Order: sequence, then structure tokens, then C-alpha cells
Amino acid sequence: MGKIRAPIFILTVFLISGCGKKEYSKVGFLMDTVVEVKVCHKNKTEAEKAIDASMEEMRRVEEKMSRFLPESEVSKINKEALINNPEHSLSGDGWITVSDELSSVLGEAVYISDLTKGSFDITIYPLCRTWKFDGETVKVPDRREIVEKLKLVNYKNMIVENGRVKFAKRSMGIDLGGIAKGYAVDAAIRVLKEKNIKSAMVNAGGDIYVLGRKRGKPWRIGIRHPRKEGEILGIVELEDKAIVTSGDYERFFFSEGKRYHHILNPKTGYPADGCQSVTIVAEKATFADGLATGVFVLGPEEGMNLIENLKEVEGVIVNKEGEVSISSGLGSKIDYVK
Amino acid sequence: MLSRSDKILIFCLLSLACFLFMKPFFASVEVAQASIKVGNGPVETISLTMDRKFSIEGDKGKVVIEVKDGRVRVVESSCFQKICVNTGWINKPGQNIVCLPNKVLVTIEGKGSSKIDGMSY
Amino acid sequence: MNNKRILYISVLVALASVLQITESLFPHPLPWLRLGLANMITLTSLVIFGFGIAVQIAVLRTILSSFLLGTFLSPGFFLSFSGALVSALVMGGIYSLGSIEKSNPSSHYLFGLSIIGVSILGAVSHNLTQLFVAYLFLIRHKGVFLTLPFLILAGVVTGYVVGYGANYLSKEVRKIVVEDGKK
Repeated sequence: MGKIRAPIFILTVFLISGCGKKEYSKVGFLMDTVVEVKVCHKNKTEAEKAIDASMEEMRRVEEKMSRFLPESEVSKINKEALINNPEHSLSGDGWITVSDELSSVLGEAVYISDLTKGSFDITIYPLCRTWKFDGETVKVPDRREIVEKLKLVNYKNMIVENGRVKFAKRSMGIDLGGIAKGYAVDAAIRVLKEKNIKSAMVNAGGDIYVLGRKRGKPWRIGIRHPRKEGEILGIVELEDKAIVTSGDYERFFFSEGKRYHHILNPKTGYPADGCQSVTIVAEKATFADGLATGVFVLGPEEGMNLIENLKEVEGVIVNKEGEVSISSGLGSKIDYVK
Repeated sequence: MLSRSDKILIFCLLSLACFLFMKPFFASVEVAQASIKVGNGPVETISLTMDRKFSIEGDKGKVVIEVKDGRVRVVESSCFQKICVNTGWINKPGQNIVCLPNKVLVTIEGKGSSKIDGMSY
Repeated sequence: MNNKRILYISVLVALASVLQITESLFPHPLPWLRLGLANMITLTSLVIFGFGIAVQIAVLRTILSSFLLGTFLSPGFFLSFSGALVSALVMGGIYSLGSIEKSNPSSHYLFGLSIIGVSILGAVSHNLTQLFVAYLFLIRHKGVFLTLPFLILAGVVTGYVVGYGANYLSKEVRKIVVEDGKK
């Protein structure tokens, strides 16, 4: 009796303790936020190399798509858009060459703009320059200036074709702040997959993609409570999905008792005020990032409608009163706290 | 000499000992520690058992960190918004204080309750 | 209680103390691995004189030993006192709750355990009690619980040895007591 049971018992206990996969993670400052890459892998050297490679990739994406870096492709496009632009004609010259990678991101951005009826709009660049959310400014820009700049904001005035882009008006430009982090996350995941990683989590300032499962169980991602510091709104269990949140608490300043945050409404020129936070769960982080920004501006009702109408997209919206709505497909996967 | 019950007892106790050996229940054996990352530098780990105050060089200047009673906080910072200072004391594994302008990140180490693997914000 | 009894009990207390003191004089590379030879006496008294007497003997031998060693009221004393007390209570409890054949000390007790099983439980509970007392009053560090598996293993091994010895010891002592009673 006892002779066979004991070894089996001991073996079972061994197996339960995780099959020898260990967790490795690294943290860094990229894209003006905190980036963390966590990987579950058997081999330490391989894991660490993969993590370093993925962070390097994110750095490369930032160097290409940040409007703050003068040598980035986006900055070059914006500079060229200033000088190379026929004011009144959409034909002929004015085409600016763009890389395939940027082309695809621009295409994705236009798609999201269409979906959100222009609530997401990367041509918001002139407005972004007026509202400086650099962590040091506390001044609300002059209304007249906002109205002026608004004229330059409209994604329909930007034409994207394979390998090139054209703007209908001078002084237009693009800001990829609402989508580039998501793209960087997707790029990082792509690199991890190339390095044979089957289980990972990339978190770039709250824009997350979880690859595979964590030790046999889906990854548990918490959604931050938009008003209560350190508290969680709910926990979502995910695998091979992106989850991105746009909130009014990330970058903001107070002026005369009012909160001005960095998610501007491309139609009004002022911070969108329908929501406190929007979380999107989708297949790719690029899409989730842009959509979260767009839905935030669209507002809680229209936004939730859009989410429900999109296949393979789920979300959570906290409206400006703090009321939470969860999309129908997410119910089973979310451990809602309040 | 050994009765059947004795053998069962011994088997149970030995199994229990084996199990406890594999999966220590009181895994929070770790000493209270915090990790500090500045810019692209390496992560430095500090123990939270000794009370002290010290300053580090961030991207924008000085950041003063204080350790007291197993907790840690940012006392002063050369950044503009002072979000890091306003975060106050932290002491639970997973909690962190960030100063983005200075590129300083202070995180409490340890597994803690680990209810979540990451936070979307 | 008649005088003969008092005599027997005193001798047993003395014996137990000697065992405890001698054991503590040996070098102990592993502090948690104590043979607990004195528990043989506790078990024997349990079988022959019953629950109450056994507990008293256990408590008395702890105090007496600590007097002689000069460790009375020291942290070590509290550890050994609590360990001896709890294990005596545990062993006594199992013994009393079970069915006994008075004539044969090696018969089966509660749940079919023999004297060895009782001894093992006593040894394990002794070690666990000492661990808890150490955590509560001496080292407030959850890391001490990492020794649990070793303490349980040690308890099983020493409990077996002590139980084996107690089995024979109790038979011999019974012979003496019964012989004496007949006189």
C-alpha cells in the first residue's frame, strides 16, 4: 500500500510547483513613462536577452514616432509639412515620403478616426503644441489661439497612401501620442515572440499586452481606479490580448480649480470631459490605444455603443460621474471590485 | 511493533513535511526591501529596516528619499509637479513612487499578495 | 496517594531530569533535533500511573532540570517547559481517550495507534509548540516557520526511538510496581 503512494505524492507536489519556469522582469524609462517587461521562461539568459531586445525595440519605435525628438520621422514629417505644402490644392506636390512602418500606423490611425467619427485624430498636433502638458505649465491657452489651431485639425485633410502622406493645409502636423505607445507594445511583443518567448507581459505606462498564460493561468491585469489612488476598479483575466486605458489622471494640471488633462477633443480644442477613464481590450495594442483615446473623447454612451458594435473588442468606461459600464463580452472575464 | 495506524500516521506526517518543504507557506520571509531605478542605470536595492534619509541625482536634479519604520517616501524633489512627493509613504510589495521628470522609480520588493500581474492606467 | 507512589514518582522525576540534563550536555549540531529521552519517562508514567501524574512528572522534571542547570526562567526554560507540557497533554489526551488493555502497555490506543504512534505525536507536538513559543516570544520573524518540515521529520524519528524505548521501559517498570504491590 504505502510503497507506491508516497513517490507519486511527492512527484505530484513537485509538478504543481510550476514546471521550472521562472519570472524575469525589467523596468525602464521610455516614451516619457515607466515601461516594464515581464517574461516567464525556463532559461534565464534567453529570457534576459529577449527582454533587452524588446526594450531596445521600444526605444527604436520611440525614436521614430515621438514628436518631441527632433530626429524622429514624425518630427521630420511635421517640419516638412510646414514648408512643403500647397495651401489650396490637394493635388500635385505636397507629398511627403514615409516609411512603410509609419504608413501602416497612419493607416490604422485613420481607420480609428473613421470608427470614432473623428474623436480620435492624429492631426491634433497644432493643438498639442498650444496646450503644453510638459509637467511645468499651468496656463490655459488663449481661446482665440485654440480656435485658430482647431482649423488645422481634421484627419480628413490628411491623405495617406502607401509610402507617402499629404496635408491639405500648411502648418498641419501629426502627433502619435494616442497610438504610438500601443504600437511600441505590439513591436515589443513581436520581438519577444521572435526570441521564442511564449509567456510575457509588456506594460508601457499602462498600455499592456499579455502573451500566452502565466504559469498555466491567464494574466491578471488590474484597472486603476480613476479617482482613488492605489485602488483597483477591477481585475481582468486575459491571455494573448491587449488592454489599454486612457484616463484623465495621467497628465494634467489644475487652473482656477478646474482640471485640464491631456486628452483633447479634436473638435472643441479642449480636454474631453465625458469620461474619467476608458479601458479597451482588443487583439492589438496599437488599435486598443487609439480606440481608448477615441472612445474617451466620444463619450460614455456613443463610446460604449461603438465598443459593443466592434467584434473582438471589449471595454470598461467610467463616465465623468464615476459610474462604471462594462461591455457585454467582458462580464465573465472581469473581477469587478465595486 | 508498529500498528497500521502508526504507519498511516508516519506516512501522513512525512508527506506533510515533504509538502511544506516544497511550498513554504510563510514565503514572506523576505526582508522588507525597496528597489530604486534612476534613468537607465542599474536597479539598486535598499533595505527598509534602517531609518535614514538620502538624496539621489535625477534628470532634473536632486530627489530626497526617506526610509522610516519599514516605509519609504520621496521627501523633496526637483521636479515641478511634485507628484512623487504627494504620493506619500509606501510599504506594500508592488507599490511604487514615480518621478517621471527625474526618471526615478521606487518600488517595494516582494511577492506580497500579488493579486494582479500588472496595472492598466 | 500512598508513600510508595510518591517514592516511585520522585524516582521517575529524578530519572527524567537526569536524562534531560545529560542530553543537553551532549553537543547538538542541530538544535531542533533533540532526542527527548526524558519523554520516555513521561510515556512510561502515562501508561502506569495515568494522565494527571504523567503531566505532573513532565512539568516537575523540566523545572528540576532547569534548577540544576541554572536556566530557570530563561528563554530556554520556557521553550522546554511549554514543549514538555503540551506534548505530555497531547500524549495523555490520546492515551486517555483511547481504549486500554491495562495488562499490556503495548496495546493500541486511540485510532489504533500504538505507544510509538503516541510518542511520535508527542514529539511532533513538542517541536511545534517550541516553534510557536519561539516565534511569539523570541524571534518575531516568519522565517522560523521554514523549519517546519525539519521539525516534523525530527519529531517522527525521535518519537519512534523514544516510543520504542518507552515500550520496553514501561514493561519493566510495570513489573517492578506490580511486584512491589504484591508485597
